[in-house]
Amino acid sequence: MFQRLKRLGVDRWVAVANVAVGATIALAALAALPIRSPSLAVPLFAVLALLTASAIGLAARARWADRVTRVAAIVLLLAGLLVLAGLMLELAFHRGLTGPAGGPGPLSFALTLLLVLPYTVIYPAGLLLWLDSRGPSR
Amino acid sequence: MTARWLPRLLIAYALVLTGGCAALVVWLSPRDEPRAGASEILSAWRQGALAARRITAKPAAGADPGAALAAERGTPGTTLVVEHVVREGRVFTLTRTLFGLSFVAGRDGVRATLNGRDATLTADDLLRERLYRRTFGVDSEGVLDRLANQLGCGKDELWRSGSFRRLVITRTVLPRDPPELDLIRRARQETAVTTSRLTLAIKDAGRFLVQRLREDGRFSDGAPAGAGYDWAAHAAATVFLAESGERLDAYELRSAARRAGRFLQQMGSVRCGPNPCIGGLERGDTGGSADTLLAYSELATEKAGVAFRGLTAELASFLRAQQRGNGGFFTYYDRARQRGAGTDRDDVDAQAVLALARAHRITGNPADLEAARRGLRHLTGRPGLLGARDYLGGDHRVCVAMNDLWERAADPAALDYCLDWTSWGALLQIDRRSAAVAEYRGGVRPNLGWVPVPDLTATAQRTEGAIATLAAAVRAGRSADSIRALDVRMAGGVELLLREQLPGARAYLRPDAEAESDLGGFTRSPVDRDPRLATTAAAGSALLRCLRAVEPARGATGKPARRRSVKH
Repeated sequence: MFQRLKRLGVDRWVAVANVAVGATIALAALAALPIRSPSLAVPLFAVLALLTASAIGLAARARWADRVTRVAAIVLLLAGLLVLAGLMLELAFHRGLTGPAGGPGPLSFALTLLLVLPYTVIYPAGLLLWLDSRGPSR
Repeated sequence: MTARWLPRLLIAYALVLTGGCAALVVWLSPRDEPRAGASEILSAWRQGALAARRITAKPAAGADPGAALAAERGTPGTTLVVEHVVREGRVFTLTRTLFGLSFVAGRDGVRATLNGRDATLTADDLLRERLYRRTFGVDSEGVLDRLANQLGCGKDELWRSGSFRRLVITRTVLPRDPPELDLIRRARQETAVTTSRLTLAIKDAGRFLVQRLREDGRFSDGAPAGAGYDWAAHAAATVFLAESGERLDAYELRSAARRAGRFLQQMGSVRCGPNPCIGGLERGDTGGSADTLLAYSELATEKAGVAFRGLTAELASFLRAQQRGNGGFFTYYDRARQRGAGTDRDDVDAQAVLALARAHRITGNPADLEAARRGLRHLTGRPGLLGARDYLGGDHRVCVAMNDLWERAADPAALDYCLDWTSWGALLQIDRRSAAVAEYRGGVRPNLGWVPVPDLTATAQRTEGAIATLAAAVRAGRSADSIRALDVRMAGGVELLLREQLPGARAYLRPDAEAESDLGGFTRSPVDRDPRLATTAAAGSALLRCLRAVEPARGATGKPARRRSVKH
């Protein structure tokens, strides 16, 4: 069983991970967010398109797969850092405004970090490190 | 290459972000002591207008806090209010939008200083002038206008050269001298949940709706010009009038309900295939038909409403025809194609289930009960997104219907859903720990953000759903421990509604308070001034359900029920 999984190759496992992360982000953004605006939708679909293209390339072991995966990882990382900064600053703003009696507590900050970090910062950073460990693009 | 720069980049980012957030919290937090000699703002209000004001230092312990305006106090109709400046803080002046966002609605005031002169707007001033935003902050242009007027300068000059401070304010209303002798008015100031207090609040809400009902059966709502007539609010108000009229045995309320019901019948009815429905030229509306069916079902319970019984059966037949195979409902009926259409919507499903459950009491048709039961199972048993149900966005009518159906078709799975729905609802409720404004505790925020002002319609609906869940849980024999938290949350919501019913705790800010023209109504939020039909109907229904829950038997009015207080 393990041998069979191993034979599938790291590339294809990364492709599956790309699809899973893309689906999670899409569901979170499209189903959970109460707002729909082009300023959110355009970057979101750009990131999803890149992740999907990367997954297809990695699954098919295409030549261009590494380059597209690198671009997808960098775009996702930058978007993640931007979103995280926005959320944390908003929480800090409310905390400062309402004071300790009514503002978001440390738990809210921790929850935000846990929800955003794995998919939009840790995963793309891991992708970049993995690509780097493979050496120059084929 | 990446392995070298990426960790450094992320560490630098984390440090900058953490530092930025900490700096923002520290900079914005109102930490400073109020300016010496300006910690108390004593105002005399008369007929909704400011009669006199003194800004003073904190009086010595035991001293009369209203002494500075003792002469005003003796004038009839005067209310003295002390606004205590608890702390001061900075505001953003980078842009006017950010300036407007730098205040907590309902709590904060502002002081502007220009060329050594001060101008102050207290929380009461901002409420009276309608300058708080419903969600967050203030109307910056309006605030600058008022401050510039006080200083006798231009708004732009004040913005360029003035300095601004945020004032965190708490408030004490001094007892009237002579004291209020009208027992009913004094009773309205009580917020403990007793049967007599609930009965008074329901009567006031009913009277408000009757006053807003025109001869032709249409309600006059204070909705903004251009907004279409709110048929859902009309139906909800009709249901509340019928229910409260029956409960309080008040002919005036029942008669008004019948008039509003006939207006629904005359203005909204069209044919949808073989059945009548509520809608327009192209479509029959399932949600609107369900609301109307609910109203008809309540009107049909009394002898004078016998004309509504046939209508109830016909409209129930339309709703049954709109039901899909999975138990959900088509959102509309396409009159050209003669069939149901539209995507599944939980709110429409909930409306239809509740309406059919109530209609079954009138029609006695087992098909209505079966349709309601199937709809309820669809709403509470269906796995939603990734298997997780939408507990936060769930419609309160699901739980009202679950409770209504309990004696006829008990559904323990639906009760479990409602218990989870109420538990998740705690995230939206403002408790003592998370209340930026203490008076708003018990209220429900419109969304998951950090909005400090509750939405009173959402509060009423969530509270009604919680009361229905509690009633069903008690009947199902659930342990007292498992429902204690729910009981406390429900009481918090009811107490807020009692506090916010007009004229409310800030009646002295309303010019018409003595005339009682808005008496009994509810505004959309505590920082709004105009009562709304939909909110009043929702709040009235919640209070009525609470009365039924806490009153042991008919005729026991006046006897205090369990005295509750919110402790979160």
